Amino acid sequence: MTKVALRGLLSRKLRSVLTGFAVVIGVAFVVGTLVFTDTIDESFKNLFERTQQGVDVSVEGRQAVKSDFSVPPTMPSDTLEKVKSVPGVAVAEGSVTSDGTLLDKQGKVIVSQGPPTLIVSENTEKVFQILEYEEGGAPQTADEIALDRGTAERYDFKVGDKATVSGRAPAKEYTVSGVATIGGSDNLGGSRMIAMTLPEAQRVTGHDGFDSISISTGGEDPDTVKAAVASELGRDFLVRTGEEAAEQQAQDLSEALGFIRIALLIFAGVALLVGGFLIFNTFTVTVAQRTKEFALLRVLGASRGQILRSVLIETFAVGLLASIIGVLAGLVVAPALAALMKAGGIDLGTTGIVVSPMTVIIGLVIGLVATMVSGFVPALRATRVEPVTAMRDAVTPGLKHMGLIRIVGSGLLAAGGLVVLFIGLFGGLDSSSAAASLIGLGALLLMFAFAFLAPLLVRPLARVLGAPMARFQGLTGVLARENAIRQPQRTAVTAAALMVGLALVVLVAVFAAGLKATINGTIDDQVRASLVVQNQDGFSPIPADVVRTVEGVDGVTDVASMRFAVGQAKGDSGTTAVNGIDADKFNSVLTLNWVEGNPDTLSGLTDQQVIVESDWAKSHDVGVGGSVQFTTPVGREVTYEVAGTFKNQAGLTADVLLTSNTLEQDWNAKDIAYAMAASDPGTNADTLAAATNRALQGFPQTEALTREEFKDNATGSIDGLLGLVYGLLALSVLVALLGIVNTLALSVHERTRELGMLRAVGMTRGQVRAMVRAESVITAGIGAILGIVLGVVFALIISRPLAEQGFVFTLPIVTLIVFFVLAGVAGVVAAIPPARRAAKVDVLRAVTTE
Amino acid sequence: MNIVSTADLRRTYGEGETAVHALAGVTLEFPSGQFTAIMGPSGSGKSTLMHLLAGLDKPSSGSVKVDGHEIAGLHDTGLTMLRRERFGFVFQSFNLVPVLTAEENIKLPMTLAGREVDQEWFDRLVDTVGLRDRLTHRPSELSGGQQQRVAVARALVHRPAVLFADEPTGNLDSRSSEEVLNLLRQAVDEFHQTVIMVTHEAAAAAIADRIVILSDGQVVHDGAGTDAEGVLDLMKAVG
Repeated sequence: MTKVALRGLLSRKLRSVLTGFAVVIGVAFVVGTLVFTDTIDESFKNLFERTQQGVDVSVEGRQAVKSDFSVPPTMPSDTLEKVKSVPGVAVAEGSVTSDGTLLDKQGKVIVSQGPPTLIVSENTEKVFQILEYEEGGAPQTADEIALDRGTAERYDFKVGDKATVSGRAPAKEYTVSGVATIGGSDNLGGSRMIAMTLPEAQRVTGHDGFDSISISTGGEDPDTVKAAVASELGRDFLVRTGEEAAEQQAQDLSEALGFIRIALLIFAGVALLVGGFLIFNTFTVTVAQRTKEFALLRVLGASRGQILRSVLIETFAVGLLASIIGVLAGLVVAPALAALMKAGGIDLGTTGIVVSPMTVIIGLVIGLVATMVSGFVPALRATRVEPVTAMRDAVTPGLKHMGLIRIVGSGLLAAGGLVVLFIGLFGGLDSSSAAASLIGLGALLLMFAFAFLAPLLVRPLARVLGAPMARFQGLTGVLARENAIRQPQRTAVTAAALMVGLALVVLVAVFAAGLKATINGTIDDQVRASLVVQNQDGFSPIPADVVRTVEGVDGVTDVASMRFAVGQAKGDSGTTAVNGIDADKFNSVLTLNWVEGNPDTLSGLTDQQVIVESDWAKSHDVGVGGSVQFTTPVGREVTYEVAGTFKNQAGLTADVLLTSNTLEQDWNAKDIAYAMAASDPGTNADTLAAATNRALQGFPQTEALTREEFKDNATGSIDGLLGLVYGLLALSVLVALLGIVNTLALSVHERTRELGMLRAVGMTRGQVRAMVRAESVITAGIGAILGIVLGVVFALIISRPLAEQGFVFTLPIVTLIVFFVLAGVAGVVAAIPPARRAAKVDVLRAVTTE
Repeated sequence: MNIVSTADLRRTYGEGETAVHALAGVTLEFPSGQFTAIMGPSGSGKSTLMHLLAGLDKPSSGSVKVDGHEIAGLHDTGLTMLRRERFGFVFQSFNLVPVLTAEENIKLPMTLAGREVDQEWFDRLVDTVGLRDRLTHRPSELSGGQQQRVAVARALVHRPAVLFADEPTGNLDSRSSEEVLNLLRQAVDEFHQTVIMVTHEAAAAAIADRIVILSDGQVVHDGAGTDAEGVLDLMKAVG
């Protein structure tokens, strides 16, 4: 029987290839994701190992509260002397690292959404020097810098060139003293490195002390020295061996970037799910077409079990082969993903490919499981073929009368899906990942409910979609419509595959539209300032000096700055973002949505008081007059009195508002997230922005935006992300289109005789093509309608909890119409190969009875 | 007047020593309004001949003329137009489009060509084939005989120059066969239709005006029609 199965497979190459292709794409996506993220991890691990070269023990300030991308506090200058006094410390040197800004040769700020520009102090102790100068040498004076070779080459800087750098201090022009590689590589994981002398680095970054101290033990056991240093310095310092530090740094970054892996795996899962529909359909059709063959085998004495095994072996063979190809294809997908992320604004600067054995195993297992699960039901169907069928005319069984079962079944699935979804959304689950999993599961169940019901919807939908075709295309349109209805189940599964991808696309589109509307509305309602001053990259902090500069601009009345820090509220396991505001000026730039309190509460806010978001207050069980306790990043335990509560909308502020002073004192937040400026009434915002930008020339990384520009900026970043998500979901849609190609190809094959007869009585090749094309468009259209409806339903449900936070549900009608039209166009494209095949049908072979 | 004529028509499959000469030089003329039955044992080339006459296949050499025009050199579109405009077809099976009703199937050649159906003619055809009450039914709801009658009506709806019938009764019981054959006869007698039918059944051939018998790709008999027994004798004679 194995032989029969495998021979059968070979004789149906095309179908096997098409089926396998869906698996290949899904597996390739999964493997690509794993390879890509492993590569990220590996390259950072290498990177940190290189930067810790020669370091036996490393010291940095302890972060009491750790969050993604958070940096340790700067250690006071006298720490170095203390370290040097510890026995076993042979050499010790302090260094400074901070993000900074480099201007290109045209004087434009180099903006990056990915790896940062780092200002580092060049080590003077030979043992810690990791820079190898290709040209020139290390910076010797406060007017010199060295650059990494990657940056120098990309922006065409040579030794002796002038380069402008700014950090906390205003921009300053330097001479490039050298171009260096770092432990043999061109740059640090895609970042730009500016090396300065230590005093200059401290001045520019405003770091009054050291961010890290490197120790060489001169042969002494690092662990012993580590312990000695740790006991000398006390609990405010984190002392690790160089090895530990490198490992920890890599792990921190890997965790911070973990969302990328999860997001990509979700998309891969979706592609695989769509592929599953395709596999299911193909196997169902092949089994139906081979009814006679199975019946004959049964007549000859094959048992049901043997038939089942035969079909399952065939499924296994397809799955295995496709999984192997998928794993190989994944190696190509990994760099493609990196390129896609880069295009979407996330440049991780990875090179090379890391393939762990686990990745290969996971890829193979996932591919095989997906194929076997999708192929199992069709295989069972094959066993139900009665031997007597061999004697009868083979007919492909159509949809049985299962209407009621389908309605009830899909109703149960939908109800289950909704319950799970609502528990995920409103169940008040502590773990956000558990909630997200439930939401995902609920959505999945809803999708299956739709897919299960779809065969009943095919007929009415095909009638609606086919109406214009029948009207304008005549007979071929009618035939296309009727052909689409002929095997409702097959059409439904094909359409459902498209539905899955499209539903997610629509969900994202509707969500993004709502977010944009919400952001625009909130900025209109709440922002009273004429200008917003922020870093050009939109998220990096800006120097505190910027505030004074903006205050000096003609027409500006008030400038309120917003500081940012992350702390831990007492009793919480996670962290809470906190804003520090200039309480006396804040009312003139921003209106809070007060629940308890009023603008006077804000202007009178003392350094011991706090204003909190109302939901946050509820979940932390505090009210006005109560007190909240935090651990700050510098490890201080602080208690504040709640002075008022407000509703946060569109994340314009953090949930916890303190005074700027408090944030600087207790939380060590010296940088400003952004500042807002109010102006004299009647001042032209554009003119004011231009004047402010001129005044800010010393801080080229900052920009002053009018309210409209700020809105564009905020919504623009959503568009960037949207593009990325579309790109990733496009893959699922592509798989679904393959499904249409596949289904149509099978149908054309089945209808060879009918097509031949139509050709004999006068149907032209063009008409044959038009007919297949129209059927494809109808199928795609059904998928589009189901997907759009499902996507909007998803968006409606999932946005419910956000409605309280001011989320405005908006239907992007134009976008949805575009999706629908695109689905139709995709249908036309998908129809090309099967239509060509149908047009080539040999009239003679079709009409001769043999 | 000859509607269709052939001259030294040859059709060879394969090449060299393995070549099979399905038709080895056939010259025939089919005058208007005549019912011709083409007979012959399996592999005699009778089906090949019909396929060449109807433009479904291309000859290796020789000529096929329809209305005096050579069709051997026509491309696919030209042949399609010719079939659509000038020919009607009745096959042994798979005659009808399953998703269309009987009426839609009958009108198929007209709708494909985007032409209006002559309602009077359509009504007359429907009454002739006796399917008035079956017009809205789909093929799966019709008996085999009814399906073939729909096919005959379909083959006549656009008043073709020639009606080609390829074993039209091959799948039918004797009563249904008789009905379909009578219909073809009626088409010749009442509508002056030219009919060329390929069959291996003597009873079917007996209804024709002229009987052509092929053997090994060549015409071995070409004469006037006769009854079933006469046909059997003829077959034996050329046997």
